[in-house]
Amino acid sequence: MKIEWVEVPSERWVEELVAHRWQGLVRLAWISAYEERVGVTNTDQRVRACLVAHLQSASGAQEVFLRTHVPVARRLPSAVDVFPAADWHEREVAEMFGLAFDGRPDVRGLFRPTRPPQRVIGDDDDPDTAPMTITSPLTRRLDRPWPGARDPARPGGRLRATPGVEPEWSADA
Amino acid sequence: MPEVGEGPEGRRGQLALDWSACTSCLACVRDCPDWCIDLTARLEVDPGSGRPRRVLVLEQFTVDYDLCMYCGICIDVCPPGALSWTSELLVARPARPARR
Repeated sequence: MKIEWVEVPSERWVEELVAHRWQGLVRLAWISAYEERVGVTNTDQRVRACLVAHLQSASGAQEVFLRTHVPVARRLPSAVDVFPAADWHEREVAEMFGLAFDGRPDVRGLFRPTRPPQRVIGDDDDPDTAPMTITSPLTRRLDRPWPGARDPARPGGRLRATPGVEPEWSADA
Repeated sequence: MPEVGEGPEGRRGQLALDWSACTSCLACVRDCPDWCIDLTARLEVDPGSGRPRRVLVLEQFTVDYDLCMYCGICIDVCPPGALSWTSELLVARPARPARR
């Protein structure tokens, strides 16, 4: 089965969902997000968030992925009026990626016991931050040694730095 | 250890390593997002023809399937293409018989 990807401008996100529903893609399988670095140099730290919706026809024979690039303000219109099933997915994305959806009746988080993230960047265990963002520190990686640190070709050589972990996080720093 | 069951063709069951193809480069270990792969290798002198050179000999390759999320990144990054999926599934079963 061929899977089709459709790029959608963010200001037309809900309109495109409606249009695809009228084309027979009546089932929303899920909505999720991811982040990617869009910097053109090593020092360019720009990050772009993308929102993806997976739509299916009633029989499941046809399916489409709709993708939009989230504006820098990290706000998008909510899709709950088009697909009620978007409710939990948008709550998850809001909680995990720090995105906001306009026009939602319910903005509670799903997985973490407190309010939706107030900041995008921050600590893993801080309830005010979004843990799935690309810039979120992976503090849990301090709990055990990285298996890729040593080089078997140079026994006793220098250990490699753990990816995603800043040196100043360690307890003895 | 969980039991091994039959899975459908193409299913991501378990990771299979071609030991003769693996160069012990640790690309899979380093790119695994869950740190579920561990690999040990020792240095040996290759007695082959010409100038003796040191080669890595794979000693152990383990995958912690409690951590593995079956993303397949290790297979994509393996330079010699020594990793692949098998269709054998690890089947979860209760450790003790269920209470009635």
